[in-house]
Amino acid sequence: MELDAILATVIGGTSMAGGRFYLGGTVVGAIFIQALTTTIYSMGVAPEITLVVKAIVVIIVCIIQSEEFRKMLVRKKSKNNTTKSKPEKEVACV
Amino acid sequence: MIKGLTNKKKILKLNSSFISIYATIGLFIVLFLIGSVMFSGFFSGQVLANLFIDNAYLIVLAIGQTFVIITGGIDLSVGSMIAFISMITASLLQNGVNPFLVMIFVLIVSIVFGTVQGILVEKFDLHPWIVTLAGMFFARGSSYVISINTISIKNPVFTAISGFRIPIGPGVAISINVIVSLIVAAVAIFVLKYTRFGRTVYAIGGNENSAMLMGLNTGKVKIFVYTVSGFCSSLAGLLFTLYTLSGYGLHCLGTEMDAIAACVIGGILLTGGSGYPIGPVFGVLTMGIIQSLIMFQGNLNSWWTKIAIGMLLFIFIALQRIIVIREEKKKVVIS
Repeated sequence: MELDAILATVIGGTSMAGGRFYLGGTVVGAIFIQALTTTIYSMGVAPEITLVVKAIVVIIVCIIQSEEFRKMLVRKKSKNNTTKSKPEKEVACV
Repeated sequence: MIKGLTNKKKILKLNSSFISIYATIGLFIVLFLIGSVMFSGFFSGQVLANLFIDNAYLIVLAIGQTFVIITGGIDLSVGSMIAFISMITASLLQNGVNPFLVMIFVLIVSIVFGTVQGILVEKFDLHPWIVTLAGMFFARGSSYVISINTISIKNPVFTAISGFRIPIGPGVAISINVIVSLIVAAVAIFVLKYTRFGRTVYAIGGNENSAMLMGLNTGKVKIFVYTVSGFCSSLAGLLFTLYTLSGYGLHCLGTEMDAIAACVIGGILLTGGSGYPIGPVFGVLTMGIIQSLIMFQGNLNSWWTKIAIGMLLFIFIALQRIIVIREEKKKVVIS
């Protein structure tokens, strides 16, 4: 249950680091969780697996929200586009 | 003369930082004496030995938790890790895997588990509460996935280890679990006091940024702390499996809170940076002695243990807070 509450808030877009929240999103998150649970039940998958799935979803959502992960992604992208983006940046600086 | 004076002052100063531990040890002795006076047969070596035998796994768990709490983090996954480990052990043994291979395998599993948690906390800057809460549900869920039934262990090696008793005095015997837990406690005391890793752990708990600016490798140590906690939880899981000789997904519901409570009663600040690993050992023993007092009493519901521990926790948190506030006041006067 604790995990469900946190999961609902986190999926709704509230930042784990604090300072950013969406109450409407939390409601959507709660509905999302119940949808997930019901889907698992109705698909005929063993209900025990729900906990594992929820844990993994929480971790993934948290990782996506974290600044460090975004920085890593941006770095990788900018490495690929270094030659193209460099002149643009210089122009922007000027 | 002056040297003697400063020494005296030093001893007094040490007293203030040890006060929580002394309080715990004093409480333990007082409770034991109360039990001895009230109930005949309480004052015996075996009652004391049983305290260790029944709580060996909790001691190991609390020691692992100590490392994490001193860095200012928390590990909520330890309780369900016990269930997970007991489940893996039981189901592998049921399929006829070599028991020693099983032990090594579960230790590796938990080391990987702890390290992944540490990496998530450190590299992605996630809050340890969330990561370890997810880890807790992951472990609990995985043990349900293995099986929702109890699996009993009939492996001869496990039953032999579980039944083995080492006599240490007239009519007093301890199990192998006790020795393992005492070794873990001794190693933890040594590591936290005398190694670079231990000092870095305290430095991170004191102030992570200044530890980093001092050139300490905070990232690696923070990850390693969760690895240690994972390792300790799997060791505790093995001890618990040996103790109960069964695997079940509902084992140890809420034990992580017992481990944290033992740490707090043992004088480890939840904010990190202070505390000694001997504290949790006495914290566990104090909780155990409350339980055996209630068992000896006979009329009380065993849930009174939880009530007593809750009140104890409150008292000790208040005590710690008072100490911290007094120290802060001193600092202000100096500056």
